[in-house]
Formats: sequence, C-alpha cells, structure tokens
Amino acid sequence: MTKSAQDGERQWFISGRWQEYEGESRANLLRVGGIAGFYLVELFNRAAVPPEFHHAVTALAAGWVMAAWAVHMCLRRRVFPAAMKYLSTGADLLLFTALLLLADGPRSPLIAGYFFILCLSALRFSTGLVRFASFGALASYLFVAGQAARVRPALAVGRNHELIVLLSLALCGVTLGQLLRRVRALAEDYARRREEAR
Amino acid sequence: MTPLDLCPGCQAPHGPDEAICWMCGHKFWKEPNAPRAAAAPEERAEPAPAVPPPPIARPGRRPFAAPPSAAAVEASARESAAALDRWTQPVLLVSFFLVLGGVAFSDKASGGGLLLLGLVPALFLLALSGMRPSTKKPETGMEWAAWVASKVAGAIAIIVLAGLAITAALFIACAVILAALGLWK
Repeated sequence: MTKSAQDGERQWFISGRWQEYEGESRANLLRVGGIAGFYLVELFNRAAVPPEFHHAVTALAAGWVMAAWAVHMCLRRRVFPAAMKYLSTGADLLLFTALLLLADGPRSPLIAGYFFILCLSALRFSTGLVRFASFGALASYLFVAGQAARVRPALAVGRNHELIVLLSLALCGVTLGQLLRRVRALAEDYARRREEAR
Repeated sequence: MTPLDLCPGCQAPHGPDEAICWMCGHKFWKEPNAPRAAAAPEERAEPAPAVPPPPIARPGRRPFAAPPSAAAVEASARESAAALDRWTQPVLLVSFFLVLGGVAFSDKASGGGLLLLGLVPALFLLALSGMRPSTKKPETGMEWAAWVASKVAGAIAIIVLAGLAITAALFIACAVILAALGLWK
C-alpha cells in the first residue's frame, strides 16, 4: 500500500472514530428515551399486570438506565475503547431478552424492540457492530422462542411466525450493513467532486 | 483552567498524563502534542472585558463602593453554573431511583412518600436551571428548542414547587391551629 493510501486509511479510521463517538452518545440518548417510553407504556398498563411483574420490570428499567449512565460517564471522561460499542449493544440485547422472558415471550409486541436495537447499532458506523447486533438479535429471539416452547407452551408461536421474524431481523441487519458500506463510497465521491470543483 | 493538549492525529483533547490517544490510538511518545496555544475553541479562555475605573468620591463624603465589574459578575455566574452542574447528576440519579421506588411500591403508603421525595429535588434542579441566564445565544433550531424547553420546564417546576410549599405551609398552619384548639386527632 502506498503512503498516500495509508494516510487515507488512517484519516478514514480517525473520521470513523469521531463518528462512532458521536453515534455512541446519540445511541445512548435514544436508549434512555426508549426505556422511558416503554416504561410509560408499562405504567399505563399497570392495572392489567401482576405486581411482581411490575416490580421486576421496574428493576430491569433501573438497571438499564444505570448501564446507560455508565456509558455516558465513560464518554464524558474520554474512556472510549473500541469494544465499548459491543459491550453496550450486548447489554441492550441481554436486558431486552430478559424483559421478553418476563413478558409474553415470542407473543409479546415487544419483539419489535430487536429492530430498534439493530437500528441503534448502525449509528456507530461500524459494520462489525451491525453484524454483532444482527447475530445477537437472531440468537436472542431463538432463545426466547425456545424457552417459550419448552417452559411456557401457551405462549409458543408457530414455525412460520418464528421464521418470518428471523428473516425480518436478518434482512434488517443486511440492509443496515449495506447502508454503512455505501457511506464510504459517498464520502469518497464527495471528496473527489470537491477536489475537482476547486 | 489550563487548556488541554490536542492529539496531532485527530485533534482530540487529552490530559498531560495520557500516553496513548483515547480516540485514535496515537502514541504520544512518538510524536509530540500540538502546542498548547492551539487549544480547542471551547477550551480557549475568553479575554477579560475592560474593568471601568472606580468612581471618584466627593471630598467630605464617605466614598461609596464601586459596583461589581462585568468580569466579576461573569465569574460569579460561571462558578454558580459549575456548582450546579457538579451537583445535578448525582441529585438527578438519586431522584430517579426514588421516583422509580415510589412508582414500584405505589400500592403501599411508602410509595407516595418516595415519589414526593424523588420529585422535589429534581423539580428544584429544573427550576434552578430554568432560571439560570444563558451564556450563549441559541443559534440553530435544536438549540432554540432546548432553550425553550429548559425555560418551560423551569417555569413548571417553580409553579409545582410553589404549590407544594403553599400546601405544606397551609397543612402545618391548620395542624398547629387544630392542635392548639385541642381538636387535632
């Protein structure tokens, strides 16, 4: 690789890190907004759920907000390892799956939250993270569906239902990955046109 | 506040004790930092405004105290803003958990108490931040929206706090009067 190509890769890496930093901050803000929104829905629905479920969901929401606060403190104190995006997305998947296991599992409308986590992963402009979030969401959904089939058969869904959700998650991950791949081509085309216009 | 050093690779600010850039991984012992004079714009200290000369006291009269200079007022406002920022996060965190506890245990009597205990400091902070004068004029639509939201939230917080204070004062006054009349049960 020539020196100019190496410089170009280095500058692309630095730009990517800055966008990743900004994206992590925005994703954290959206994460807290999402937790607040879903918890408000839970509050409106409180009369229809047992008190133990409500307490468990409250504890889960509190733990999730603590995780978001920890991410916020790391970003403010300039602690920003490359693995942070994987840790925060992994925590999202883990806590969301725990929420589904408490709720109605594969029958719960909360399944749509996996797509929200996938979209959040794209904010960090990392195809590796989108891949991680996609496989993580697929594995989490399989775990939830499997748990319902074995332990709570009344909540299990049909095979076609499971396949449609899995296919939708996979396609969403692939589309987000393609979007990120187009970003570099867009940036290079823009830089070339600016250079030609001078 | 001393200006931070900037990484020569990515211009990210970093402290003097850091060996590797937290943003791009640049190793500082291989290439020195950008000079301190080229600090980030938000870290650059603004030049102090000119201090007006003190007023001349008339002979035979006691000299009156000069009004505080604009720089002193500005410094005082910054100090109080920094103090508010320092306390905001821990207080909001504690408030959040108290409110969550209040909501979670709202079927018990203690739930209402926890809710109130959690809401009051959060409302107080909202009221303070809403009353704080802005140091920078909003420029973009988002900044204007944030400014309006902070003012509206501050106003609502003040109204709610005033209502709570008046209610508490009336309750205490009624309790004292009833107790004095021997009617408190």
